[in-house]
Amino acid sequence: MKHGVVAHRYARALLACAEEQAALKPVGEDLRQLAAWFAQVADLRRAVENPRVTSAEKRVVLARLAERMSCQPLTRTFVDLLVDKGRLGYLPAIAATYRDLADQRLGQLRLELRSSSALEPTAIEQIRAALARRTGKFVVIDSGIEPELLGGVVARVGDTVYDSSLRSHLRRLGRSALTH
Amino acid sequence: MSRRRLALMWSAALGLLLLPALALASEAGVHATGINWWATDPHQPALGWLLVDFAIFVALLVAFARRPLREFVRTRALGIRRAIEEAAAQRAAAERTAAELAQRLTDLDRELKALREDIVRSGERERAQLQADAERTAERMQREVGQQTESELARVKDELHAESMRRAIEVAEQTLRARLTAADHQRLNRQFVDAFTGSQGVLPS
Repeated sequence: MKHGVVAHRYARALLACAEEQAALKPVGEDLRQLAAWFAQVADLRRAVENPRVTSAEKRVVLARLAERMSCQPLTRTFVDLLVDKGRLGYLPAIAATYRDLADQRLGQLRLELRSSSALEPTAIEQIRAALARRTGKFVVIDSGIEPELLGGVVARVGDTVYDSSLRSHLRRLGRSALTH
Repeated sequence: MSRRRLALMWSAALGLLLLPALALASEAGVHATGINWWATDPHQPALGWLLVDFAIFVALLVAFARRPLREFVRTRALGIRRAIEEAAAQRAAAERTAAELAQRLTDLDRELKALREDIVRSGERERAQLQADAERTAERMQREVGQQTESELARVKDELHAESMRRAIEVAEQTLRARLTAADHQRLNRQFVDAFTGSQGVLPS
């Protein structure tokens, strides 16, 4: 259980509700965006984690954010619930768990691609097609740019990672030099 | 004391009280010269009555006080004898105690001497033990210091090595960042795509 018991419990409950409302994907997208906001906006993260900020204040802030993002009503209700239960800090983990569970439910495979420079769309499509051919599943590509990789690509499917980045090569080289 | 004897004693006491009165009553008729034996004379007491009085007193004393006196003397003698015996026993006990004490003093001297010798011996043993311990501790500390120095040297060497490696990696990263062109990035991406999609690729099954 990669993201913890609490996150798994909340994600599973939300998934069940989203399935009932036929909003599996939109809710997942809402969670992804909210988690991205949490990751990128430090002030928001600090405000949410600050015990001096009351639940009502947190709810107002998050309601505005959800409105701006045009979140699903279920997502807004869920965020309110997290505020009430004091579990808002688990939102990124819940989003990740929800994504994994939703992928399983939809029978799709998610491939995370990280590269130091943008991959060409044809390259992404080639990768997706190759993976779909090999696994027989519908493949969802989640791509992003990470300049810290220096060069090359890191691909992650579930727990399997293929790392061809120059950063990893250099670090492996350094470790190898230290052990010999 | 029986009732009869008590009555006799009271009677004797009354008689003794009355006798001088009788003597005084008869003094009027007696005016003879010389020893006044029986007449009552205020200037010259009757010697005969005095003697009789004294004899009665002695008889009463003998009659009533003889036994208690004898008993008192006997018990007193017994008490004295017992006291003497007790004193003798106490003296004997004191002598024994004194002898024991003297013996103990003698033994004490011997024990003190033995104890002193023991202390000296154990002190010498302890000193030797302490010296041996100190020598062992010194040797161990010397060994440990040597080992610590060696391990510290090795640690510093490792740290230096790691630090130099970290610096080298940093420099390499900076160099790569500076020198890698867009074409290089595209080539690297292409290599990954080829490896990922190729027949000998790394795809998860």
